[in-house]
Amino acid sequence: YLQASAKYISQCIDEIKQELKQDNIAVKANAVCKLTYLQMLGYDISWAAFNIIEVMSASKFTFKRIGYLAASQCFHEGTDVIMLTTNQIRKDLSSPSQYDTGVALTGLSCFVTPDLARDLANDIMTLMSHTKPYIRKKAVLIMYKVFLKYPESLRPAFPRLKEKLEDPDPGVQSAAVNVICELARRNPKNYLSLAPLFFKLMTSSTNNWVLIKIIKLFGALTPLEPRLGKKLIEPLTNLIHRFSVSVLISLSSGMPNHSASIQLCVQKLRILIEDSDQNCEFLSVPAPGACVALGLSIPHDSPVGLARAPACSIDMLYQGFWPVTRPGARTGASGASEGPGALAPPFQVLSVWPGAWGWGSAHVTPVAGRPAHRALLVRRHLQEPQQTLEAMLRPKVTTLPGHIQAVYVQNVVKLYASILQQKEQAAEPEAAQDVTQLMVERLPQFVQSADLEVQERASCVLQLVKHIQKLQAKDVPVAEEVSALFAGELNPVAPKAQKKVPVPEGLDLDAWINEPPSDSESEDEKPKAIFHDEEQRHAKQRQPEAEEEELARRREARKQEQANNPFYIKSSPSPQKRYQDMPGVEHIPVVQIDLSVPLKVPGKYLHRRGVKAKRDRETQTLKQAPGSQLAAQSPTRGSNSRTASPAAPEGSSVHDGVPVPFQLPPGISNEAQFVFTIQSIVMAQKLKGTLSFIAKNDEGSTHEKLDFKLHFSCTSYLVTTPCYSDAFAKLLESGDLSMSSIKVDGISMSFQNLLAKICFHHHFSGKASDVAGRWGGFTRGEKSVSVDGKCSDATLLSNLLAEMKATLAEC
Amino acid sequence: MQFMLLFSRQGKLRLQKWYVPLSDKEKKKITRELVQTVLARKPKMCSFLEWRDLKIVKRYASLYFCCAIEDQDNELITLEIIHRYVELLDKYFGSVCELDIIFNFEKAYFILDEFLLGGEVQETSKKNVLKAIEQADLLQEEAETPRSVLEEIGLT
Repeated sequence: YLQASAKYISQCIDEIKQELKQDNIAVKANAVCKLTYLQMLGYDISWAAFNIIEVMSASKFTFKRIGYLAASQCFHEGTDVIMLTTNQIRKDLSSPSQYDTGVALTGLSCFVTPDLARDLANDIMTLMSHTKPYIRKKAVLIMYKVFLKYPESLRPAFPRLKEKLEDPDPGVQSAAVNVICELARRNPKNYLSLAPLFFKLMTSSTNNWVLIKIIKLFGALTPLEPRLGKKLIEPLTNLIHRFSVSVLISLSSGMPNHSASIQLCVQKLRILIEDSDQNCEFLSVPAPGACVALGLSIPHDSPVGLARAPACSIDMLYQGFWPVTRPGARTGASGASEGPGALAPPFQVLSVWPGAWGWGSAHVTPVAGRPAHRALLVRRHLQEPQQTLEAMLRPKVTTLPGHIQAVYVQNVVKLYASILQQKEQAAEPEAAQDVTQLMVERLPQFVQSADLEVQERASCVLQLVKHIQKLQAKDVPVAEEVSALFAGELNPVAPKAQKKVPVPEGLDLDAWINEPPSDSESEDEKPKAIFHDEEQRHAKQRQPEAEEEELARRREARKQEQANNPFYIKSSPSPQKRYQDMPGVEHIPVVQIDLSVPLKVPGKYLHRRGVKAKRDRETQTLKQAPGSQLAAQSPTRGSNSRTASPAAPEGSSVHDGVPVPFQLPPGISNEAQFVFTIQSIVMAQKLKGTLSFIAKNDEGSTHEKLDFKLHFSCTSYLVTTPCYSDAFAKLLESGDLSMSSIKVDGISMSFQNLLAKICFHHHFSGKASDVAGRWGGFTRGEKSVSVDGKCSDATLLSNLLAEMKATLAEC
Repeated sequence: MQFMLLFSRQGKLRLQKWYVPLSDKEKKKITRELVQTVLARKPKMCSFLEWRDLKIVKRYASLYFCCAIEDQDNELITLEIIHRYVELLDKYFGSVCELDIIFNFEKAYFILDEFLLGGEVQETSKKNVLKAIEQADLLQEEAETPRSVLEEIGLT
């Protein structure tokens, strides 16, 4: 396939070459269009550069457009014929048609070279004041590219550019903002004077895109002009409140020195970081230059967050910032910095606000991670290690969370070590001793920490320092040894590594290290064991010790609890006099009702009291809906019942309530089967019932009732039985059966369907094959059907037929 | 923005717009590398990836929209730009799909050219961009009808 397509492509290219030789500009344009597509696929089309210029010079907009498109795709500084475009472009720039001009500007922006820039700068500048905003907009934007290629053009063009900031057309205005913003990024000093103008724009513009650009611009300007920062607080704060993410990111990169706004930023950033959207996580880790103090932790499986934070710059360190470090290296320069495998340990971002040391450690949150990394940075680059050490040992530090303090302690030692080394190398033994004294004084506050890790580390260190102090008193140089403590890198240990360590001989990990606890202790254990037993046993154990009244009271309490306990399944019924609030209970054997109606009672506990069944038994299922809870309690009143159907005689048996044998906690569904026998099937029956239950919720329990009616047609008693033709014939011949028939007109259904329907609904078995032919003679439209029936019971028959008539009427 | 690439899941380039002048060879190299890197990413991964400069990737149905922006550029704005471009395409083509972009690739470029210029946002109003495109289309049509009439008469 690949071979074939390569062949096809080369065929096409040959075709195109032929087309380009023709005079017809339309054909040429089409060819160039094809070339553009081919270029996208990766084929080189630079050989057609001249043809492209030809098409660019077409007078028709359609072709011109294609020419410029091709040019923008493949022309570059190395294209030798590119200078031939100059005049054409100039012509197009002054064309009466704004679209010609537009397309020229757009195309040029992609392939402008220094020469082209120099030659065309003036023309473009003039266009910045064109009558049509469409042109002005494009001209302004392209000026940026021109400036880049031919910087001398900036000076003469600048006043006009400034004017455009107040252009009546918003599109032109945004274009101007864009351009100046990009220029200012490269050279902020020159644009500081524009700040007031941009301020005005920022407060008056409603266009988000513009706002973001302006904020970005300010981000570049504020470092130069601190007063500007102060002025910006209010409008920026408003913006933070109004907008979300994108604005915030720009803000955080240009935030002025102000704690309130930092807090706000931090808040919002915190929300971002914790946002499960990976994009948000990615963005919320600020660049080191951002200088926002964070006390955030990025979950360690957020690879993106880790990938984003760049390594800290030395500049920042020299300004007294605490390094932003990341565990692990960014895996190479290219791409693969994501992936859960890349960076494992938990990671906290730290940046320190410039001058934060003066503010105290409230804004400093240390970096967890590989200590070696930080030690390296600290030792080598920190200009003011002494100050740093002092700051780290400040009492305020003890207010930080434990795990952070632990890291502090660890790093304090490293810092100490490097200072020692420094001092000893500078031959300042007193200074070295002072540092040691500082440590001795300040470490105890960590030793007293509630956090075990901090305690442990601090005590170790304190002992070490005290030892060092003794050595120092004897003028023994210690720095080397102390530094040696931190030599080498500790690699992270996998959590399962411990398991891999082989257990040495003779070591039984399960044996008691000390004597097993004494008897006195085990006595205290016993009561606990008792609590595991069921309540009854507990009660029994206690009973002999308690008095009679105590017993009775406890029993009552227990029973009450059981009564209220929805999960407690009541034992088989004995006259339960304890349920005083309910009517008398009787024991009735569980009968099966097959009810097809699902009951939905959401969210409550139910104690079901009983079902009043009206008819004789037939199997049905009772389903309790989820959310209801039923307690099987003995049923209550007996009742008489009447069927609603006037045709049906009353069922002879009278039932008391039938208990539902379960309780339903919320969210649980259950089924119970209740059986009724129906004594007569010759007529339709109706079963009326009431489901009484007790619903329990937080406020208490309520008695509720659910009435239901079930209709049993005669058909429902029919059981489909296959009948073979002989038997069938015999039946038909039989004289004992009573006969009856019905006729229904207005049938529109086909006989096949009709028969199927009857069989389905009325439980017949039947075949239509021999009868089908009879319909053939009928005209389309309505037919009539007559049904003859024979049955041993006339009443049943007539009822059945009546039901069938109803079904047929629907056909 | 330095460049924008559109490519399919199979790595076929559907649109490439370069706002910085580079030689063909460089362009090809970058395209190849980028396409490879992007296609290797799993769907759960974040939309941004770092690659020399900074790249943004957003996937719409079967197409990958990949923009290269500089360090100081706002990533979210770029996502917005991609989204806006897709909206424009959608409005113009009516429920745009990859085929539309394949068969009308020059239109896709023209729309992009009305929206971005030199890598910067040219027009933030969707309406205005589409209006410009429509008018340009009209211009093309008007130009065409007289031509065919002339051709019919025999005057080309």
